[in-house]
Amino acid sequence: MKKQTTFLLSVLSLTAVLLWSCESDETATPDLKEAQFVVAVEAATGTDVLLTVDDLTTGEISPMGQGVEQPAWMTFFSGGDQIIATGYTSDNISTAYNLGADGNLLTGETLITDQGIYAATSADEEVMLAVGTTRAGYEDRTIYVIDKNNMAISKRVLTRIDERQEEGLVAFPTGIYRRGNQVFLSYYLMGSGEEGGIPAFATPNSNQARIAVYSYPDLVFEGLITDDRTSDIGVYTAVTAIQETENGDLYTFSTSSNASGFFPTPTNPSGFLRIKAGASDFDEDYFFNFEQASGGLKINNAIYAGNGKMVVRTITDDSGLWAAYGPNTETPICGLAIADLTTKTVTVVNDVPLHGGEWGMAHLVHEGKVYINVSDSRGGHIYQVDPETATAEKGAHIDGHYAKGIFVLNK
Amino acid sequence: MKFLVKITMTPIKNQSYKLLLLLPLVICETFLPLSTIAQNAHQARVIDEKGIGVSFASILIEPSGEILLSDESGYFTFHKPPKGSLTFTVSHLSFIAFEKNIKASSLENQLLLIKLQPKNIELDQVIIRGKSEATQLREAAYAIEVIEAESFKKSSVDVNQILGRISGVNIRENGGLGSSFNLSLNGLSGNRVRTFINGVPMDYFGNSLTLNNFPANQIEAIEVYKGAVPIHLSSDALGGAVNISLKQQPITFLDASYSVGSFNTHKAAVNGQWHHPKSGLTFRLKSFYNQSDNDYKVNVHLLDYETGKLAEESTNVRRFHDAYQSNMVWAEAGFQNKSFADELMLGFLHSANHNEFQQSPYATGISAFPTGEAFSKTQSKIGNLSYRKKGLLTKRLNVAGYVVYVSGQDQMVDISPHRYDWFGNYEPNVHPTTGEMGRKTNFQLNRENWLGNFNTEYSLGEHHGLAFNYSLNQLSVQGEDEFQPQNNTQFSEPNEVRKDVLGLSYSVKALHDKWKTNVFGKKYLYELNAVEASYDGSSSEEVRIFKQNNGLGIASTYVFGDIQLKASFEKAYRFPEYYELFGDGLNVIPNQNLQAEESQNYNLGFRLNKLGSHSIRAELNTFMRDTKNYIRFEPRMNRSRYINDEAVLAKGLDLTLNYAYDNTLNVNFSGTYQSLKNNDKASALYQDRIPNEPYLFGNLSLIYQLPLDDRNELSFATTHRYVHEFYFQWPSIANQDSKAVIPSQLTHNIELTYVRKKGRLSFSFLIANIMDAEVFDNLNQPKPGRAYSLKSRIYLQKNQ
Repeated sequence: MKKQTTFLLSVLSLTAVLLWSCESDETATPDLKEAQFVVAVEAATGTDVLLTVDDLTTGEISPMGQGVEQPAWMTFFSGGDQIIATGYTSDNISTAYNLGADGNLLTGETLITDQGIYAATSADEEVMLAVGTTRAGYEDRTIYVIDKNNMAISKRVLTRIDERQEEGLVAFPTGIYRRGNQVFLSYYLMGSGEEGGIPAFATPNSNQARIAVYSYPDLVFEGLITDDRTSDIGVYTAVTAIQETENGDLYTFSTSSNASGFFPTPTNPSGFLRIKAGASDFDEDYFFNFEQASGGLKINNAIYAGNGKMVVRTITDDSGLWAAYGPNTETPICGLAIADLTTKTVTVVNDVPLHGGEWGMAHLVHEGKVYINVSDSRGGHIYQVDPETATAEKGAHIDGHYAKGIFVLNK
Repeated sequence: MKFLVKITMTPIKNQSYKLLLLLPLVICETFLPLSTIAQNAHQARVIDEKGIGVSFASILIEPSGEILLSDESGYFTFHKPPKGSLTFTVSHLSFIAFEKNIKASSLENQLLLIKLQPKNIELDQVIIRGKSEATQLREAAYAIEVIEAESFKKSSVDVNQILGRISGVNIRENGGLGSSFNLSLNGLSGNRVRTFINGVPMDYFGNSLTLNNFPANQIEAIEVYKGAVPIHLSSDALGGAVNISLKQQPITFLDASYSVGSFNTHKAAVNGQWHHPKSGLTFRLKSFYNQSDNDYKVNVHLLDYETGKLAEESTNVRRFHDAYQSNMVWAEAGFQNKSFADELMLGFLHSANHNEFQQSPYATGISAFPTGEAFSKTQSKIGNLSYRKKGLLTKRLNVAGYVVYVSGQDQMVDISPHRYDWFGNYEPNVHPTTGEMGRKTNFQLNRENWLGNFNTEYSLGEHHGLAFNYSLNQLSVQGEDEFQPQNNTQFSEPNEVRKDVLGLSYSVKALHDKWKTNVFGKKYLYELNAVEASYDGSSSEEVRIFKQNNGLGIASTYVFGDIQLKASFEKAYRFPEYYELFGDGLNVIPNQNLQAEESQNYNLGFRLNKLGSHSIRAELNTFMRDTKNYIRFEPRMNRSRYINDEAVLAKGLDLTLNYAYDNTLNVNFSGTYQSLKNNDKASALYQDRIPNEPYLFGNLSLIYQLPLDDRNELSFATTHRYVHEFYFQWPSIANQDSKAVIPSQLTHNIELTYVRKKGRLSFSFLIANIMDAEVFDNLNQPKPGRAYSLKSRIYLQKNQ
């Protein structure tokens, strides 16, 4: 197990992974003629390729001889009409990809940051917010304010988020989201990794959910909000730690999961918290104890599908530290379930086999369906999940390790 | 084949000093002819009283001063003047010296036969440096190419540059002096190709002494084995071996050189030996000092830190933190040329180097944030004891062995909190918790290494021979890192690797020595006791591996007339090296689960040698290597590591064409095509070319020698080198237009050399990359443009 853990950690640290709180894009259903699916695939060689795909439900998605070769191990996220690929080549680099008139991917603007980016969000039409951090030690984190038009940094905000030197702990970002004139930044407290102190990534004080709140657009730190009913929000490299529903409520997930990288494992249950529309603190009247409702499952990642439904990647066996980070694992431990945020019920999606978790969770919410990657050591497929019926269909086969990102772009 | 024959005879007339030139004697496959003037080639043969050819007899021809060696069958070719008379002085340790005056006009178009009379050898007086009959037998069948370093000593090139001219050899350097490099031979690179110094694996010198800083001065010859490797080089080489022979003659000499070049590059070497013939007492010193600022200019798209954008236009800036310095002193004392030993030496070596990083060595392209303080350094203290004796107890038995102890300290330091720009300015204390390339690191590693080799050869008469070899390599590394817990845990306890290799070989020659064959078997024992630490260093696990494997091989050669055929097969193993397993503590992460490589190697070679005033040599080697668990380096910035590829099949061919006219003009072409392909049928990449590996490359060199008078000479040489473009990642992945490519590169060097007093004093002037082409290494990091260097060398030898 330790070997596997070490391996996972090695892979984890290969790159500065970008976290992205994805905006649900069910608001405007793209005209199919003008829309184009784009999938990021980690090929069998470990090389990442970004390619256009006509059909997610059948056939094969292959990076052989097609698609745009990526310079390193990248993380991909959606930014409206562009896809941002971020990774560590000669520097921490982020590159925008757009769809050309001919339906081919065009390589756009590139940005270089001094810190590795672990969380980002499209704040509005013009602005992207990204959070950079070091991986250990007491040091400022950076919130980059990025002009989406030319991928240029317009402002840096330095913040420690929540540094506790007396406890040997620092904040590691898991998500950032803008709502109205506030920015919510989720994080977890981990060891600073100082000599003789708490090791980096150890989580001795995680029985609490925490969010740092900043003003927008000025990004002035307003304060921390906390909740003791569950644990730290999000996971390492999560992409959907804070999500907004149709009525403006924010929902966060907490994993309390050893397999998701928390050790010692938090004792509070895994579940969802809410920040109601207009409020700037956790809703004291709302806690969805997912662990209890599901009969012992924990959340690894969750995608808001609309209509009060969360598509949840679950942890079925929480015994192995970091065990959920392995899309091509031989011992898959992740399942899939639909969580109803209103009724606080959980329905397991039996059509999806046990599979490996990812760094974040590749997903696309499109026309009421949620497309995800389901993979293990034998390879991967895209699955089309229907959140209303809690059913899923096996879709296109991935020629390679797994799909790291699933998107739709307009011409 | 190569042989080292020291000809020492009773001084004849006043010519002893001319013999100096002959010291590094290698007749085969030299690139550069010895300096002589002549019009016409004439063939002659040295025979014994039974009419059998005498190999390796030395021939001095007066008045031209031409010095030659007879080949394996006794033949040699000399240059006949149109008129006048010639004096032949022929010597061989087993024969009475022969001297004869012959009128040039009497030499018709027939073979000149020189018959020698045998003598009773007094070993004390006749100094034998030639490889014994058994050794010749053993080596003759291998696919080996020998480079004589003499011609290069005067020039300012280093060993890498010499090797780079051999077909099948490709050297990829990452930058200026002291930067890392990779030698590949027939498509196998890294540690598959072992490098030896006098048969001792070069690994033990640590990073201080490598092929690209080793001065050519001290080298007598370089043997390059393509394919099967003889058992006396008994390491677990997989694709071949390079053995550098240093001077070992029992003489007194002093050899010093100094070169100065662009980028504040200075290289000095002093190499000397004092030998007392009567007592055999010998003191030997080898030393060098190399240093360079490597501050060559590069084109950089400068980063606007505020916006995070790179400038569209590139700016030509000077590298400011890439200096390199290395030094070595190696002193040995002992006896040479005694009844109890041909050589018995005890030595002590100290070497050190210091290397600055300008950016992550495994970044692709140029980093927007250069590093201004990170560095590595190495220090090694080495003790060595070596012994050689030919004809121990009985004339048929040769023994040789060495024991080496190495105590080394390596340090990798990346702790600066400052952020530098490409002008060398910095913003202080902006990243207090990280270094410039990643996690803050101050990694100190202690290496303790025992190496030993024991070799015996026994001749079973004229046509058969047996050899046995045992080699040991035990390495223990332990270290600490005050900043990086993973390193600290990983190396808190000693990590140990031990390799034992036993070899046995049998040699036979038949059909009037035209057919030679060598059969050998090897036993490999491998033991690893290591620690594997987690990323945060909070947990660790012991890794224990013990493996044994058997290897075998056969090498055979047949000669008919001017044509020689060579074929070899070997099943060989290579166990991972410590830096492949444990990483470098900074940019290369450990992978203790690396498997041993296993390879079946096939070589078939053909050689044509036509002597004459227009001499032509053509050589074609084809090879195939079927490798399992191919160990490949995957560059990924500070998370780079070595991995196993399931199966790789390499096929290729090397072509060498050499034309020489009257020893004044020499044109040499070497070209290689190699196809290294994924041979794992289950892989989606089956049949795909291995990434980041050049597959088509070659070089052309032209040398023109102009004798000024009897004693002085001017030579002019140009070298042109081409490497075809190749993909950075697997070729069939993604759209071809989107793929990262290491572009084709063509470079030209020119060199002018002036030699005074028959080689005692020489000066050379080299312009490398004269067209100032933009050249890149395998990660598209820029290499130096045009560079100049001037070298002077003096060589003094005491006549004995």
